[in-house]
Amino acid sequence: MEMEATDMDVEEQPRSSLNPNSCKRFGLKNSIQTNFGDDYVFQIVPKEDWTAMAVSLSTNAVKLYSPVTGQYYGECRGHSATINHISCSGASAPHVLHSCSSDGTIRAWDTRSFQQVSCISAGDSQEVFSFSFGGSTDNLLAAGCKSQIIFWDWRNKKQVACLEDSHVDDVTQVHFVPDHRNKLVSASVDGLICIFDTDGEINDDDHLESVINVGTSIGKVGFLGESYQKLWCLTHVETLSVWDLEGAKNEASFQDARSLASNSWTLDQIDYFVDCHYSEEAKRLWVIGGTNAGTIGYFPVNYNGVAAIGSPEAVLEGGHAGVVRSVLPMSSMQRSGIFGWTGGEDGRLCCWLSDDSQINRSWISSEFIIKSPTTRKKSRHHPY
Amino acid sequence: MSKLSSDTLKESISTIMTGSKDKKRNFTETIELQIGLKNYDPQKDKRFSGSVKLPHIPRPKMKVCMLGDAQHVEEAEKIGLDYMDVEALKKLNKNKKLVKKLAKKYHAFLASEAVIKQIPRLLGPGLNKAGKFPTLVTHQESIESKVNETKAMVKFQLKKVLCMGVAVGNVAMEEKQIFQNVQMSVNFLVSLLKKNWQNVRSLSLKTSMGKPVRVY
Repeated sequence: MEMEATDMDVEEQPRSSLNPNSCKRFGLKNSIQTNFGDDYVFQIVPKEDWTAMAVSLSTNAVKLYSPVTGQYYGECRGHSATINHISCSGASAPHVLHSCSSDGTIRAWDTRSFQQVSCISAGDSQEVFSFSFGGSTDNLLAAGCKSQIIFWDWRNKKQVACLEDSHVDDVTQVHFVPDHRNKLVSASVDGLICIFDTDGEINDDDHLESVINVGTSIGKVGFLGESYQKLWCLTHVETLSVWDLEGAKNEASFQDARSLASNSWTLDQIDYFVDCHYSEEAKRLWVIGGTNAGTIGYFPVNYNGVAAIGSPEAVLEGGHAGVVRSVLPMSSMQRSGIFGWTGGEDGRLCCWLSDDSQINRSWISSEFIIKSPTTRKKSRHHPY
Repeated sequence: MSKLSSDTLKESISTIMTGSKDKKRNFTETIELQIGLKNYDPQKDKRFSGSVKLPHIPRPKMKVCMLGDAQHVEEAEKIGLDYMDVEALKKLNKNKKLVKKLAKKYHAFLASEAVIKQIPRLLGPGLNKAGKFPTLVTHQESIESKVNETKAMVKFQLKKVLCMGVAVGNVAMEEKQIFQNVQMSVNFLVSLLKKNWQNVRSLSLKTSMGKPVRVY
């Protein structure tokens, strides 16, 4: 089977480290079973110094592992409902991990002792789907809840504002804009992305700066572009769009993103998207698509001029046996020979070898991409 | 592959249509597709919510208003579509009651690029709160097709229970159109489920006042 001829728009783009001329298949280094039930891996996030990675599971717990060896360190337990988002603090508090949950709380954990160090509650009947730290003086903690966005001063844990008019359904995402710390972007199941100015006394009437109507339930958004002035947006009906925050303009819209991605490789059809990945160095965007059987690919997205989704430049196959939910690329640790980690609904964490440590067997040139469902069943190294 | 049998579906549509004709109501009944799921855990599986564009408009009476720039206002006038320009929006003066009244008057709004940017400033979050923030229309697309597209969109959302309903048509439509709407929405919804048809427990069709008829 031959790969389809690469699209013209792909050739015009600058090559990045991820794209050495052709599609790369990455080899599986090892895989870890995070639990012995039917529980899923939701999200993998690194500690700022990469000495550990935190993994949220559907058991309502977060487990910590070494991103280099996969060694298990310990577990943070306390949430009584689904954990919706986790994130590690920056250099100022290197051992703090935050998590938010449908139990209505945002908790902080010490990643050395695995003990809970603080807890903020959004209310008994609330659910917290997302959170972000920021604000022009970096004192704000914003949380996306059931149709509300709640703000606290994280230093004294006092609630400072609650926006309840801008969204009418669950707020799945909140992000302070990296280069404009006073700006907050929110996204919701109601199909809207809102941009707020969080300076001063925050309210719906005067602080809602602009609104983007995506038209369908939004799952995930992220920043891209120089000075992060653009947003990519993935929806629960698996569409992808790119927007300019300035003027809330649509740059590209892929209503049939799954078929575009499926048509650009010869493997099984793409059933869902896991995430997007933006490279600042290469100034390029990839959408990470997956199959229900657990293979994922990095598909380049052209959003300037002719909108297009190109042939995958990386394929991670043979690690998972279910939907992949999270990808953690190891950009800063390339030297360790690891491309990154993935986690999914099979409860597994998979560690993928980077390019330079590839053994010949583990990647196949683009002319010979062959369906090989059997690789998935190969017995792998289980360190535990 | 669709597991929905065309014959069963056609028969079911006839059954609910007959039911609706036998007992005429004072309004045009909506036809709802009810979906029951299995092997799906709302606690940990991905959200099942969003909007689908149907091949045939299920709600023809939907009132749409164009919040337009000069060119779009002119176009709206030509096709007999209600419209407001920036000046008219300014007159609402961010008054919550007036914005609420405007939101109530229409089912959906469209807005030109130059206008949509100003809406939060001119109207505040009122249209957001009503769940009716406008859809963007550029000068490259025709307003008429955008109006039809807006009317053809239907929402679905699975909450904590494993069943949900989607409006797929009304009893004034041709049976063939209903058939196509049902088929399209079923296939699309099933494609979003990780086990596809193995996640579907049951599918039923029902009119607003009628009894549900199982199609799968």
